[in-house]
Amino acid sequence: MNISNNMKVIELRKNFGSLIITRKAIIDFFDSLAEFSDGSLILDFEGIEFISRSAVHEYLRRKTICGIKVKEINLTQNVKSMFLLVARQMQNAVSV
Amino acid sequence: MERNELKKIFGAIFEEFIELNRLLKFGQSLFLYRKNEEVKEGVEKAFKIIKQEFPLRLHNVLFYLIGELTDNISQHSHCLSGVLVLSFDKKSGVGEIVVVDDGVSIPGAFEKRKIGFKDDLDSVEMAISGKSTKKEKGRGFGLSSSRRLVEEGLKGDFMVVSGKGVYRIKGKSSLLSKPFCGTLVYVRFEDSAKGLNIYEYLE
Repeated sequence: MNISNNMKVIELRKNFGSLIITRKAIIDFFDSLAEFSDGSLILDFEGIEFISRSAVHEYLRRKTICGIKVKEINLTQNVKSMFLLVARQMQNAVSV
Repeated sequence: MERNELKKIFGAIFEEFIELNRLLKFGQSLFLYRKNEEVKEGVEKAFKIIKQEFPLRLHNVLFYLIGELTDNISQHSHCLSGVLVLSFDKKSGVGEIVVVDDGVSIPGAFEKRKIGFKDDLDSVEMAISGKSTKKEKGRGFGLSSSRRLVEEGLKGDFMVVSGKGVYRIKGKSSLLSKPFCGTLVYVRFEDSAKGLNIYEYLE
């Protein structure tokens, strides 16, 4: 996805502080993005020092179904590692 | 937080398994859920305590454990009260974490979803092995990954008490004669003074 100057940027630190822990927090956040449906967004992870595995799982689920093109920027190595881990787990998992 | 309130709600389970006074000598307790309401600042305070009281090399693993265990309360327990206790004896390097709630318990949650199990210990072992009451792809990793991180990464102790089931890594798993109406997860470890890459244990 190319980033254009017109794309809305949301600084996640303003919503979450430096930590993203619960699934509920992610659900509430994505619910608040309803107005951007069918559009594009940049989520700026600057200042997010930790995101839990559960939160990443919920994030990846919601990203798939929210109808918004989302681009993440400024992820720390720690946050990136958690995203990669959960993405692999979701790929390998079987739906029940 | 009122120590008396903690003892009133969870005193019996602590008395049976963990010395609460010792825990609170070197640690702090925080309500995560109180009278059926989420205490929003509870987990944030917990992370501040970790940053202030525990060595930097332990932060990531503790963030991970607290994140998973507290989210389990939110997702599964339907509790009135949920408490987190964090303790670190800087002299001995011994750290302890307790996450406890008075909710439906693991066997109770499985029963509600008509997931079959032999007895309450079996249900706890199933949960720790990755069985989830949620149907979405990629669920069921919380307890299993936490156990692995504690056992293999921290070389520590991991115990889960839920219903009548008592699961332990160190020591014998067993069945209680009287059920605990809730779930308690206990972690104990000794700081090895080495860094720990949590991702090695989470695949």
